[in-house]
Amino acid sequence: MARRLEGLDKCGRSVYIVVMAETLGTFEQAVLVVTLRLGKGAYGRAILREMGVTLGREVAAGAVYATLDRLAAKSYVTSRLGEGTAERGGRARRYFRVTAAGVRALNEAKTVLETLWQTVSWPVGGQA
Amino acid sequence: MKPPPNPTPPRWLEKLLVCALPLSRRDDIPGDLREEFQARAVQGASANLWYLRQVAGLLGRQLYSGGKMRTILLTVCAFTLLACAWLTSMESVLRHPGYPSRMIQDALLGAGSLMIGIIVLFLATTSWRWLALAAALGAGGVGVSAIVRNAHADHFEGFVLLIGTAFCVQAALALWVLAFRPRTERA
Repeated sequence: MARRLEGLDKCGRSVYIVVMAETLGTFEQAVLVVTLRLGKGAYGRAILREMGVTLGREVAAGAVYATLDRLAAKSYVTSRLGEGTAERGGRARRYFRVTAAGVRALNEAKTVLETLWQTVSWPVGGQA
Repeated sequence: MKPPPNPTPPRWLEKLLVCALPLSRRDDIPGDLREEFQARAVQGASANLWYLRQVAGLLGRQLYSGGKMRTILLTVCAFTLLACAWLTSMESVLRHPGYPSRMIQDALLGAGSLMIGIIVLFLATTSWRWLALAAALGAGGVGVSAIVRNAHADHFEGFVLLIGTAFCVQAALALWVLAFRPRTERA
């Protein structure tokens, strides 16, 4: 990724960064990271809980499920139905797993963000 | 007061959620929410309110998912429902000759729009969709006839053209969403 950026001028680099950043949103990245961290125990409720802990705020279940569906459509995660338990009223759990493409996208998104932040000094000064 | 040992979310809300979800998610999502509900109820948190918020959020997302055509159809259904309510109330206020039969017709058309909306939202994969489709096509026919009669009438009424067109659009969209759309998309 960094090599690809080296060949571009400042404008091309900005365009590339914007395009890449749009392929994986912040919330998508958070869901992917949490799913990776949970490993084999990554099912809907666990991801929802972990997202709340990680982001430090309550996360809507609908937002998490919609993101997981979007990530599945991009082939960044796969899922399989597990067993049902009594406390779930016999309903099955759906376990999610980050695919190789998902890991690659996550790495790329991190590199893009790091490269982006290297272009300005921290903390950002205000012209506003 | 201690919560019961195995608290469950309100049954009607859970059923509403199951109906609104696509077939492939009717097991895991309600299960996840029930599990979380129980954990919150045991902790003494306001689990009912949390559950209501999650279901409302999922229903809202469901409204805008499943394709643009479905969203447009639901919007048109809402419009025709409001238009029929307005027509019915205007008939009852103005009381032109023959108003009771027109009021009944408007009310029936409004009920049809409501029914189509509900079926598209919750029962689009069941055989109820054929009833909704029949209602939409019937209302579309009424719309076409109203437009034709309006075109040949002494006084042209703009609102008749607008509402009649809305019924025609509703019929075309219902045909697309309920009959021609691939099953996988509906699910």
